[in-house]
Amino acid sequence: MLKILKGGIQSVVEDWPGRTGRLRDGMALSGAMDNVACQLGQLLVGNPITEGGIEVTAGGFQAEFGEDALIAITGADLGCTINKQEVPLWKSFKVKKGDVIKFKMYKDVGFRAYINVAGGIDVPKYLGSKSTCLFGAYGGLEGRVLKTDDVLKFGKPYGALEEGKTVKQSAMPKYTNYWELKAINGPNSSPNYVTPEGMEWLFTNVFDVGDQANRAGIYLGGVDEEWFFAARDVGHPSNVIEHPYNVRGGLNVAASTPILFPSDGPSLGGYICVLSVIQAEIWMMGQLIPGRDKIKFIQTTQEEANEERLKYYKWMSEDSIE
Amino acid sequence: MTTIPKPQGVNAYLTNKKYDNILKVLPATMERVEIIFLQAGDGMLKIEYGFNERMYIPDSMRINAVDELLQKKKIKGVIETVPTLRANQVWFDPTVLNINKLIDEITEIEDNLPPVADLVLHSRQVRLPIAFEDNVTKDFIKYYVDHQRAESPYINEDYGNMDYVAQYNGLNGKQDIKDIVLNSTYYNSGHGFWPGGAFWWNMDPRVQLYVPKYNPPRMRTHEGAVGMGGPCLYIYSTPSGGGYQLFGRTIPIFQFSLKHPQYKDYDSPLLFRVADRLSFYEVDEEEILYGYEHIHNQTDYKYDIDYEGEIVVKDFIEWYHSPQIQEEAAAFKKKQAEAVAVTPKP
Repeated sequence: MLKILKGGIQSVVEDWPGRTGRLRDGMALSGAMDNVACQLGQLLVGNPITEGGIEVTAGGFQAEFGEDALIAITGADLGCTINKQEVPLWKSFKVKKGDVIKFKMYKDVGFRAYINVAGGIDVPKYLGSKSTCLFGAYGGLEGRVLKTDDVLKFGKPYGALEEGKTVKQSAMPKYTNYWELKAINGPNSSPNYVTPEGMEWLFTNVFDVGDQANRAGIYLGGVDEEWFFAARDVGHPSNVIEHPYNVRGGLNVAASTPILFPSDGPSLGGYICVLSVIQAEIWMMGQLIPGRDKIKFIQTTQEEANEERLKYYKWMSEDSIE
Repeated sequence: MTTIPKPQGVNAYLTNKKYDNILKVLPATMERVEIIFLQAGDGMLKIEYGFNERMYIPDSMRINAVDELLQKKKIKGVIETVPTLRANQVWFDPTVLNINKLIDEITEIEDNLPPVADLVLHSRQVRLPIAFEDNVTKDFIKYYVDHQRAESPYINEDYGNMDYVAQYNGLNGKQDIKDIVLNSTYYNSGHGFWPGGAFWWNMDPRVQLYVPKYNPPRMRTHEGAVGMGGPCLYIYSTPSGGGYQLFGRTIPIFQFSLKHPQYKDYDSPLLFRVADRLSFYEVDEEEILYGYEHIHNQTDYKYDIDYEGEIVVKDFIEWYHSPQIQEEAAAFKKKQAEAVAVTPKP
């Protein structure tokens, strides 16, 4: 088990692919913000890629192990130490009862790290998933962020505990402050909602990630209403009759504010959605540093997205581990 | 906001094609409007009903009927769907299921669907209390004024949105809005946005209010807030962001813990079901607060739900299209349009 000493900025239990099948009840998918780091982390400790770990956002998390365990830290370098000794990322290692794990703060690149434990985190599954949905206050540990004195149990390991497993150099995700996310048209990219100039701008502009960038929405500055929207006979040209949102990865334009929808993005609403980040690259949303990073959307096709998706499936397999 | 330079030299014709995401269109029939299949992501297909946006409840009944048949087909690669008033969206794995194959499957269902008018829908009647412009609602609107946008046409000096809704619809004042809300029956097309939230549509076209949403949307809304965006009424199920113009507050409609028998007995954190009908009665603020205490804590609150009701769709369609109703609806729309022209936009 793990005794939480400090919850840090925001630490939650998440798995992948999150809580599917309940969008029609208005229940967000949730799931790891960076599913690549979460899934590779599960592989390192011998778990299935659908297991859950602890998502540490920004840093500040501290905890004490109440038993020996095999763990791996993946994702961003948040200055993780065990008993004040720096530990390698993307590599499985054993910890002993009484060891204290601490995270400092995020550095130049990357914003979320994952603590992955052999056997997974033993919280009850709610509607098929261990993922925390903060807005709904369900899933994970009591539907909330981890805090001082919480205790998390571990599940039974899935196999032998193998130390020293690493992610191959060729399989390491690359973090940056300038992210290019491949995206595909739709559902409201046609000229009856957005002008061609507006769409061209979406695929050429470099967006600043806003200070408000959390599990439910990543704010990306503003659009110029003078020329972005096609003229329509409605109260505001960003408004449509309530329709399904293309979560995860949809870019919503709420009045003049573009908002990218990650894990806890809403299932439905009344603003247009102008493009969709391809599923193979939605993981990048989890590593965006609020108020610092920049992103650009690169237009792609269904065919290319399929190729990228097949690569992603292969990436999330033993092929990436040595 | 800084000025954003407009991209120059965009060839409208080329870019129209470049950003065209219509995959297929089924022509309109006697039974329905045209159906547009839209790319909505690399594993998302959106099925939209009608090129023109309309608020017509039988569209939703049709979409839910098609959705049910689609679920029954258990097509390999389909993950889940989100049916709404005039669109459905299918989330699928395009490496397992080709998008054109999926379109064909849905087309087949559409082509063989019996008339919606033949449906008789089981429809519960839910009655909820509402406190208009209560203090909690005002506090949240004040928070928006203090932190997000100080001056806006949709918030009055008393931190209320109802005056704006009245103005936008060509009505005299908030009493008119209250009267409409208290005398209307709303239809649930399905759930979404946040957990358990239902999308409610006024069944009477003669009092079909419309109002644009906040600009920018609120970062905070309280549980139980009742609001309107476009032609839709919504009750916020949990604390969340949101852009709807707020009327007031009702009691909880979502309970994850399943403590209260209304949730426990049905093993569902959602109060509402698709095709439910909803109406409101006015209470003072204390009664709403009583509801929170006695639903979430003491669990002895009794919801007012009639389980036995049904909607005979044929009767509804006939009534809806009858000359008198249509005439009165057109008159309401005309007055509304005149008001929209002189009302400031968000």
